[in-house]
Amino acid sequence: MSEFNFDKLKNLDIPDTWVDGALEVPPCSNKPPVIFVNFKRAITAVACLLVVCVLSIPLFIYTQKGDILSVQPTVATPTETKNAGLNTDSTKNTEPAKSNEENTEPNKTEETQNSTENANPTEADTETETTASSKTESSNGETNPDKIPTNPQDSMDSNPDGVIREPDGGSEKPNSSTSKPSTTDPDKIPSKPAQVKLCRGSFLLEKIQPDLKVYCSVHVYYDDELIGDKDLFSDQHIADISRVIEDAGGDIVVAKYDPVKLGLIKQTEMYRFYFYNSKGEILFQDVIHIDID
Amino acid sequence: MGDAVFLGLSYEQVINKYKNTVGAVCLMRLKNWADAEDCFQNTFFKLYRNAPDFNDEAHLKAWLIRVAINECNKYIRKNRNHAELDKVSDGAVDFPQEKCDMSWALLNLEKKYREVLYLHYAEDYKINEIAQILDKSPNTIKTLLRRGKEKLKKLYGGDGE
Repeated sequence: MSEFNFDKLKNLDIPDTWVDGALEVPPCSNKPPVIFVNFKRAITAVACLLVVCVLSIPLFIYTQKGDILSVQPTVATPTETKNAGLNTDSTKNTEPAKSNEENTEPNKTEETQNSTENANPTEADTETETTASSKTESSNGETNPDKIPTNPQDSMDSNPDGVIREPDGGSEKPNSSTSKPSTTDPDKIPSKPAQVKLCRGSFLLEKIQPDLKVYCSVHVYYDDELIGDKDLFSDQHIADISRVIEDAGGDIVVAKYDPVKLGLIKQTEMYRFYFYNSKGEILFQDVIHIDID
Repeated sequence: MGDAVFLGLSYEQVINKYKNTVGAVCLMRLKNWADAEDCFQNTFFKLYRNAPDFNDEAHLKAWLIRVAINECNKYIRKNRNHAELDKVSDGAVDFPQEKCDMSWALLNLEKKYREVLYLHYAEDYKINEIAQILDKSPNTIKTLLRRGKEKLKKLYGGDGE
């Protein structure tokens, strides 16, 4: 290896002033010695972290709220019946949730009160049109569903021809016995919650043909947890047909389902239920408050 | 001044022992006596203040060289807007051109070659050691060494041996 001679550089005559200056170490400040920190990198990293946090918090809140609000049925996906053949003035049993949800929160007590009334068959004897025709929207005071008969025979007795009588102005959807719109004053909130234990719904007869089987599933409202058998077409989910109401636009079936009697409901809670046919098409859905006290 | 002890040597003894090495590194970087003095002193100030633990004297020497290089770089960055240090005539280092001594040629090389050649030929550091001191890969050091030698030979105009 060739060797270069750098003696002059290697044996520099360092002035004594340099050495003296190096010996006179200036007093160090009270601050600790600064360890090398790349401030630019540190600031950039902190800024990125802040941006990520700021962006993720609303996203997290949104997803949480979305989970609460999105209560999608697990029964059937795209085939909510719209009662296309129905006279919309009379019954609309496929969008109860919209109006019922409107009723649910602010008019929860009203629904339960109405349900209590529904549970009392004495008042429901003569109101045969309530389950099929009356609206559940509290804002519409035209309907009067507070007389839903629990005993089909009673209602049939009072309305032997089974014909639905439309309320004035017509209702837009059938109500379930569990959710009752306000009768006269949509703004009135009943003070005493009614006890509801029965799921009721109405829909076109043709939707359950030919097997005439109706199923019902009950879900906890807030987290959409299914109550009961995971097999949605098991015997546990078979609902009863209370009665069939003849209508020019197509016969209406009134179905009922008692989850409390089946032992499915263990606690007082808000629940959402769906009536659906063998194909998984949702026929009716609504929200109820079941009190098992 | 002399309370600090580094591997059994007092602060003053360390300065006297390594002043040539640190001074040469600073001069090579800055090519200016006045600027080199500042960096020279700052290097030893850091030694005194930080008082790191060294494994051996080789470790101490390598540490001083590394800190001297860093101080020079910091000085250059700080005075970037000023006239280039290479062009400053006042206090500039100037070695006579001699056949036997290549110091003058070394200072005329680009600065990336100067340290590598000095550490290898003047301080007898190996390539791996130089790589550690300068925080570069050994392959880079080899390349710099080879190219530096070629340029040195061109400047010298003959064989360096």
